[in-house]
Amino acid sequence: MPRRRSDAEAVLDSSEASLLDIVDNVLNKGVVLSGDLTIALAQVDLVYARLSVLLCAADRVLPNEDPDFIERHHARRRRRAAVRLRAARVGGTGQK
Amino acid sequence: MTPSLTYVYCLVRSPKAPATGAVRGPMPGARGVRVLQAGPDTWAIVSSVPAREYDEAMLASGLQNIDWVGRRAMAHETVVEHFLTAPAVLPLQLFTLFTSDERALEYVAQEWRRIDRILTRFDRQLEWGLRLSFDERAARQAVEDSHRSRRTRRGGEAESGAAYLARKRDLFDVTRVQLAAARTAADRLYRAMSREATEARRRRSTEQATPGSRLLLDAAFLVPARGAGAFRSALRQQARRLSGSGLVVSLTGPWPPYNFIDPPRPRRAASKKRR
Repeated sequence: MPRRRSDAEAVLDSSEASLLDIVDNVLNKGVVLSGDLTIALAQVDLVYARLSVLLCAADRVLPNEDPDFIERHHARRRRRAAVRLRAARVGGTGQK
Repeated sequence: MTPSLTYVYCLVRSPKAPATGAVRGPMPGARGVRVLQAGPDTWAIVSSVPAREYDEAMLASGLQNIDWVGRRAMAHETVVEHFLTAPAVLPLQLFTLFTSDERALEYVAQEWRRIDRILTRFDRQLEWGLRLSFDERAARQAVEDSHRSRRTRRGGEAESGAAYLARKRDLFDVTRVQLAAARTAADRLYRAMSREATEARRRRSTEQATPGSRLLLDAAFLVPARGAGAFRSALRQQARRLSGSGLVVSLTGPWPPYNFIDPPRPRRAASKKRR
């Protein structure tokens, strides 16, 4: 069930940023200085498309968290998905 | 000794060589962070990384692995963010690698005019990201809730035909009227916040932010480092004016000015031959 929100709820959490934002910025927007090793752009596009699917912009991680952040990020997503699944089942049989 | 490559995170403008003592999170496999002079008042922030962990084959396979990329993206970002207090920071693309320090400096020298111009534009400026999304699910839920509470007030009687139609109409309004109002609010918010910034960029994406929620504004603002407080309070004021349920504003930053590397496009109406 979606979290209920008050009118025009403003989330002003400037210290947080989603992992997708960070990957998008560093991979696609930094200045390109033609290095000695150049990444084939097609590969970058491929990984970026997959990242967009895998990471939901609503899942937020702190930039300075410890190195296990990705594991915990995935664990959070799995937990949330499990909760949603349970809620859907209850909702399906529990009406009326 | 194993062969190593020079990994460049960013270029920093500062009269003195920036301190690297407290820098956290260099690239996996790196031995600390070093500073190279790359031009007048300009410094390259680099690490030596083992060549066999960052050669083309490793990058090609690593780029298919989200954890591998994510970890390195975070390390890159963490190092760049450390230098946000410098007068200007120019972030480089992830995996900018050279066979030696000398080669890295050679490439910077080749591109010096472009780099110098960008660093001058970025002088004491930082980026902030602003998003406005419309959560249709929350807005529909609000309609359902208000109708249910009306029924409860009347003693919990069964929903009448008229009440049913009113509820359906209000739910229909969420996708029509409320969404249109939310789009207008997004345009207004962008215009208002642009006035508080040195430069503004808006990304035109109408994709869904999360299931049931639409991203109506995805914008970046270049803001004077000293003006961050004023920018935030202006946003708070604007956010208060937003009415209606389901509107969610989020601000992230400060970021290195990733979205402002390309110079601004000359404005059509007001362009009077700049430069």
